[in-house]
Amino acid sequence: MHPVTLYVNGEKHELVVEPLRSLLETLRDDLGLTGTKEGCGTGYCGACTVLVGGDPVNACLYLSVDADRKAITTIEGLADENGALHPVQRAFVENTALQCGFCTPGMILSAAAFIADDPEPSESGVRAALAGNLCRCTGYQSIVRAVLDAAKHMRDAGRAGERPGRRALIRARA
Amino acid sequence: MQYFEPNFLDEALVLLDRFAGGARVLAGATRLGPQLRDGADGVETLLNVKRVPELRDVHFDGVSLRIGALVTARELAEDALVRTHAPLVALAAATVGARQLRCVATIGGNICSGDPAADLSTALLACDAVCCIASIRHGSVETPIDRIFKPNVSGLPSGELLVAVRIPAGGACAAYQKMTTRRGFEMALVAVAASLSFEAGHVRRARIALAGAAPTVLRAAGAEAALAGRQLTRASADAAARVAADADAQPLDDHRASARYRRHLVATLTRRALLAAGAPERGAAA
Repeated sequence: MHPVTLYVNGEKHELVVEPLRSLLETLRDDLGLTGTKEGCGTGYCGACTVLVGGDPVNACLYLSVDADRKAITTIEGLADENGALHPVQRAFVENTALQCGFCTPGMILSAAAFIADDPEPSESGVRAALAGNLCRCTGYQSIVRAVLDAAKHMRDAGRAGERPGRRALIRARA
Repeated sequence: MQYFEPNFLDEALVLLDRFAGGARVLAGATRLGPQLRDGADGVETLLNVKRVPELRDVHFDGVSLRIGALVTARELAEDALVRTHAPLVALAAATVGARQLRCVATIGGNICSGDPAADLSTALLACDAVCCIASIRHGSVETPIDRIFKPNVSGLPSGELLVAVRIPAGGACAAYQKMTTRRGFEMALVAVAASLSFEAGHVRRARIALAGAAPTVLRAAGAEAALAGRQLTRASADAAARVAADADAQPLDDHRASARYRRHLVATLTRRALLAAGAPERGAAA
């Protein structure tokens, strides 16, 4: 067992974990943050995507011990302090970019991290950025449209380049 | 299971020496983590080397580029030093898995996985890379990377730690060609890395490495010899590609592709890689 300190959506958690415990198990089973989904459990489907230090990772492969002293953003940390959805979340709703919804949290976090790096993405850029997130219901047309919409919305709102989870961090410091 | 997070290189080496064959080194854990959780046999001790500072450096000394074993595929694809001095490695790194994997998977893990379709290992073979290996018993030694890969063997001998790879500078005439079935986030069916140097319009030295074409990643020595000293033309590229496919490659049949299809891919991708690698030189000559 090994002690770790995780900063999840701006909240500090001190835990003791097994060395091989995945970040996914820690988030869902120890912290009750069940918005992060387990799909394949082997790093292929991307349903468990969370952000570590702003970068998307597969939480099923990522070890909890490697998340020690790092900032983690899950789908629960994207909306702002008043509960207003993140622009990517809103665009997914407006474009009906989901059917069963199981892939959606990972899809949204990958998209939000991508838009932060590339505020004016091309369609092919969006497809490449989401290559590691599989959807088995809807196909990808509406998802790609939602990500392009969200990027445009963020540019129009002067939020281009904003790191996802930034608002949660500001909230935590306040 | 015992678990350690050594802070210094010497500390890691002492632990590796003490626990010898029962110890495994954890880097990005994208490959080893699932294996261990499925109950890999005989692993009593885990060494997570994430805190060892030497393993994260990227440094150019004017002659060669040294890349620490924990540098991730994403860093390789984006790092200015890597893109300038080892562009082939940056090209291959950009094709590793999906972004979620590239943010975590390391160059050292790619080499030590022993995977016959490993992108970074293939690019490093074509770059004449050297592995910087440290152990308590032998100190620091440098081993050419083609001596690391053996069929059905992963990792280094017990007690040894891969600290960095060193790549001779140059290799501007380089290309990486990879065949997958869904154009993103996949292991290569076959991939070809090519690096060429020219002298007076002729190929001075060719380096061609194959992924997915044998039980290990492999230098296509026959194809390299076929091209050396010749002008790079469609005909000479085609001839070298046929040697790579017919003589160098030893492809396997498996559920992902037949040996026959893999041989066909070796020929096609080698030809494309050679012509793409030579394009700057051929453009200058034209």
